[in-house]
Amino acid sequence: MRKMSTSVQQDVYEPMFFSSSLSPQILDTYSVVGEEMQLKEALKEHDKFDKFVILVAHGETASTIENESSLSSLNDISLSGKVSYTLHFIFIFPKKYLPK
Amino acid sequence: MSVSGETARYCSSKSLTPQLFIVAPQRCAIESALIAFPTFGPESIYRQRWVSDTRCTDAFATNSDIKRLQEAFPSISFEHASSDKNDFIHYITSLEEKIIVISSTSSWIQSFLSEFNHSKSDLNSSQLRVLGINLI
Repeated sequence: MRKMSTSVQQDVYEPMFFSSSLSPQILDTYSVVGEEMQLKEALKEHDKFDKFVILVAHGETASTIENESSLSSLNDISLSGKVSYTLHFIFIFPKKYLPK
Repeated sequence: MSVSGETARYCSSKSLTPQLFIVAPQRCAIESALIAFPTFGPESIYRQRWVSDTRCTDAFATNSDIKRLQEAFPSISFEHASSDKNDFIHYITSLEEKIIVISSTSSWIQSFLSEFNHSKSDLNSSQLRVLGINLI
């Protein structure tokens, strides 16, 4: 069984990019979120952010689709049955919380 | 769909109720957002605002493409479909909404995150924290 891994980096300027693939079967394993502790740790200061942006990216399914050059062909393709996405969280902090 | 439910519960537990959804004018991007946040869909009881913006895609959308998507997703506003692609980061930071979901292709998101490095805005590394959940 494949499991979810959670990666957390603080004060990282370089973008973190993941490609991922979720099959409907893997979706059921998402509820096993022991690794999410890191995420909770990082979110302790969530009330300090000015803006919270959640990016939803496609995984392998979409990567395959992206190889299509024509957007018209993209619009003919549905993701139904092949769920695949990655979540990125971006915090933009106000200046008053910056370390001095 | 447990991952969708988990995402929804997680956001709820953190009071992270998305206030605005910005999606690329691509069916796969729209569907991904709908799958990730099923309880906040444009036709849900929350009725959060969903807009499609060409600035969050690298693909070229023709008027025909947009029209087809409008027919498929009538609850999504395509009012920004012809907006200037420049300065998307400033656009995001200028929005009144605090919690925003952006759904696009992985390649676009990669370039979007890279833009922070080169942005002329006053953002710096201390102001920005990027956290990723990798579902493998």
